[in-house]
Amino acid sequence: MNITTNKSEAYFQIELDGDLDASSCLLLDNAIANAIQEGEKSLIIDCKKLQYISSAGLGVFMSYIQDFEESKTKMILFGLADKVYNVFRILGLDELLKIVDSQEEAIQVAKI
Amino acid sequence: MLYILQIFTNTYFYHSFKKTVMHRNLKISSKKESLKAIRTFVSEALEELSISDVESNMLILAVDEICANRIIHSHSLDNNSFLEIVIRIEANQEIVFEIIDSGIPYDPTTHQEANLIQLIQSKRKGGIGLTLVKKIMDTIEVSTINNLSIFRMQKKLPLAS
Amino acid sequence: MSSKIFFRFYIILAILSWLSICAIEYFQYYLYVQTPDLLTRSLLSIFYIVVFLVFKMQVGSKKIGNFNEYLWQVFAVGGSTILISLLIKFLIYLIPFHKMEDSILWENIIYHINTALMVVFLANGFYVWKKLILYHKNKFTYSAWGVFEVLVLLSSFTNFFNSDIYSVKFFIATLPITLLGIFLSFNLKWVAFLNYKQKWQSIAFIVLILIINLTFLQQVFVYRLDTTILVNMANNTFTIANFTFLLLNCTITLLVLLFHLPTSSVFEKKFGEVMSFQKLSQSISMGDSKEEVYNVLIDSCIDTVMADAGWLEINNEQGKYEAFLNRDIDEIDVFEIKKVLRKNNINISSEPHYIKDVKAIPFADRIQTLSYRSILIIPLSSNNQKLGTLILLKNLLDGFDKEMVDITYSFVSQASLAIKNFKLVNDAIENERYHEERKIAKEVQKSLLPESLMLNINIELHAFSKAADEVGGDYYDIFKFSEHKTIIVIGDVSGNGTSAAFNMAQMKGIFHSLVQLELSPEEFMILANNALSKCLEKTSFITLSIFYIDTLNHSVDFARAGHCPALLFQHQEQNCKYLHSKGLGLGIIRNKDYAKHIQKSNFVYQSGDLMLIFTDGIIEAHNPTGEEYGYDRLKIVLQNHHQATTKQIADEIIADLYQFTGTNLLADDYSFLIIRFI
Repeated sequence: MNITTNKSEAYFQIELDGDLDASSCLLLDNAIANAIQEGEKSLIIDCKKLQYISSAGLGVFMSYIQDFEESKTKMILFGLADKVYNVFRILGLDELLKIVDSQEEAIQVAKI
Repeated sequence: MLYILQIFTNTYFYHSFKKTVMHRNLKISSKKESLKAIRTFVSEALEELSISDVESNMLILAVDEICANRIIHSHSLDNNSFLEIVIRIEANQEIVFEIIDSGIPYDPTTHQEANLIQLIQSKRKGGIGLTLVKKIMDTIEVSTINNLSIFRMQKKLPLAS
Repeated sequence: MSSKIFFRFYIILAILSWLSICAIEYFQYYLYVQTPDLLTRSLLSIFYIVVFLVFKMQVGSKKIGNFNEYLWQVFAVGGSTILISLLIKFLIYLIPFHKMEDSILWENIIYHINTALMVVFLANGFYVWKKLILYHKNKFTYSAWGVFEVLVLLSSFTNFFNSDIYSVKFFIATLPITLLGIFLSFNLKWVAFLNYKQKWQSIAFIVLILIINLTFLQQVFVYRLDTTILVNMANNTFTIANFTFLLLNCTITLLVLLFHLPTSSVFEKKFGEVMSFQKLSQSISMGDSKEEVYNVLIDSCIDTVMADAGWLEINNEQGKYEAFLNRDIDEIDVFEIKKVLRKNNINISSEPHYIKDVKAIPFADRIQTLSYRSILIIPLSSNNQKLGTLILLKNLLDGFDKEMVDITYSFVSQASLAIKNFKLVNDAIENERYHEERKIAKEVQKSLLPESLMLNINIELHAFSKAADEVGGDYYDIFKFSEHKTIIVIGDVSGNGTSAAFNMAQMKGIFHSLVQLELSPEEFMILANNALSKCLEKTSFITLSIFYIDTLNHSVDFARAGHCPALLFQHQEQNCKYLHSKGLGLGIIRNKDYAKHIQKSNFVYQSGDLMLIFTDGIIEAHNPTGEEYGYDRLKIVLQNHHQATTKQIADEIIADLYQFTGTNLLADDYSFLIIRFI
């Protein structure tokens, strides 16, 4: 799992590369926690290179849903492969998380 | 004598009804670093079936979740604990996974399937792995043989999307 | 070997002496042969001592790990001797005796058999207890035992006095032995090493041994009152001392064991901690992998403090996760707990924390459904370097006491040291590999530069090359095509270090293959670009100048692929100029278009003209103020020293360069060739 972060004026981007499983989910948690600490209000998660996600990975996103609602922080996921998106859908997480197709869309949503 | 006959006929009928068309197994050290290898193993075994990427990923996920669960609960001071993963595909289009280890068996029936909204509101997310597995697979059962705990799950093919 | 012989000798001696006593009695009683009393008593003493020596050797050579096995031995020997004696009694009971004399003889024989068995039991017990008493001995107990043992063995000679055991004389004789025996009986260090279950087993064994002991004692004393017995064995300091010793020991041990029972679980726990600690140390010193150290650390901590769950995070220098190990808690719960800790401004990686009651801290509602009530957070660090954090969780309110925290600390510090060492060793290996690589690259590079430069009598040539790093990217080469045609090449491979050296090796290969063909300089460059395009990595390129010197016609054809222009000094005109020409470096454009970016140039020289070709390191060398050495300075040096030999000119250039930069430590590679046409 490789996580690269990229800060621009309007948003903070986290790019996921590889498998997000029990052994790597902490990296993502750490990256999001750091972004919040920096005071970021718009996070966009690039999942184009995300090959796999397990419940541990879903857990990271889930653990922030309520926090983000309270702090009015936006988190947008984009570029999910079908098989990865399907895992979100099994649990109905696709309804609770903002998931879009492309980076442009994600940036658009982030700016609203 | 009668007993032996019974066993014999049982196995005979079992095999005539449930003919295994594929049998794979993997024995791997019970640690988190093995998860990637486990997924690769399952994925390679599933390649022989004509199922979609999305479907095979779900099956890989189910095995991965159970293995991850077994790994965090199987701590023992000896580093030589192992996990064994068996994949069988029966002639009647059934795929069976077995995850075998020497840990204490966990009873999945005691697991309460929680509503997702509740999960998020109560901030209790533990066990979503098993919820996922239950949604993916048709049946799940746990048994113990010779101090080994066996987690068996089964799904009928072709998979519903 | 000799001890084995002694052992056998003692056994035979014991049997013989016992048989002799029986025989003497027979003679005395039936044949009325008067034997001297002294003989019987000596035989008896010999029998005692020899049996003791046999057991001293037998028990002494035994190595048993478990104390209960020793007690078992005492019990087993005692039990079998009692059984044998009862069996014989029973057999004799079955055979009816009519004659009084026969009965007396038999009773005497039974008495002697009993005595023999009792002596065996006592000897065995004596030496087993010696082992137990001397467990974890100090010098004093050791010598005390020595005295005691000698006294006991000497006491076997007291049977010569045949005194009554209730007399004052007897009491005085036994007093020192008794006191010493009591003192030694209190050396019960072995009891502390038994676990709870073993203590109960020991108690059972000791009770049984006591019963056996008392049975024998009763037999001896019953017979003591029997007047038909010819040789009284009970009136003997030796037997009494031994009985007393065994009885005392058993009673004291029994009491100590009973008192120890309630505390034994605490001792056991401590012992477990020590074992875990040892396992951790062992795993470290055995050179197990980092992962194994992590596993042992978290498992031993959880087991020792009886935590319900826990996790271990290991970070690298950049603060990124290197390892994450969780036990009995899934990742999602870890996230939640970490979030609550973060909201409470608890920095888990820098300071230890103990949360007595999770429910009492702010934001705990997030984790209220988790069963954990107390959390212990201990960071791993070594020399102020943060390595990671160990977090232990308990379902109990205030579940960690000071002892547990202390033991966790010692585990963690031990493991931190190991993890730190792993990091240092890894760094050292990396470093070593790096140097090794450098060494090889340097060897390669050295072999790439030509050894001999005197290839053509019509030119005088001097080369200078120095690499800033161990491995440079500068390359020059000379090839003698024919008697009058010499080809010189100079180049600079982008980057420096190991990869530059390998690119240089490729360049040399290309040069030596293309130079064989009769090519013009620009054709050479086009083909070289073509070849390099295929083998050079995308980000690398090579600047190169090639000179085809024709000493017959005094003409030089050259092409310059992005390399520094050559400096020409014309002797006749006393003129110095740079030979500019168009050309792009090799490997920048990797297709046919390259041909458009290279051109051939030509000049004609006079005898005595000088040509200086160099790499950009010289031009770009700068002084402390950041000013570059530049083309002009180089030109002036050449102009000023044009009459000197090429070697002297080279020395002047280097001296001027060092003077300018103020140091002879170079930031780049410097190479140059001075050619004087003759």
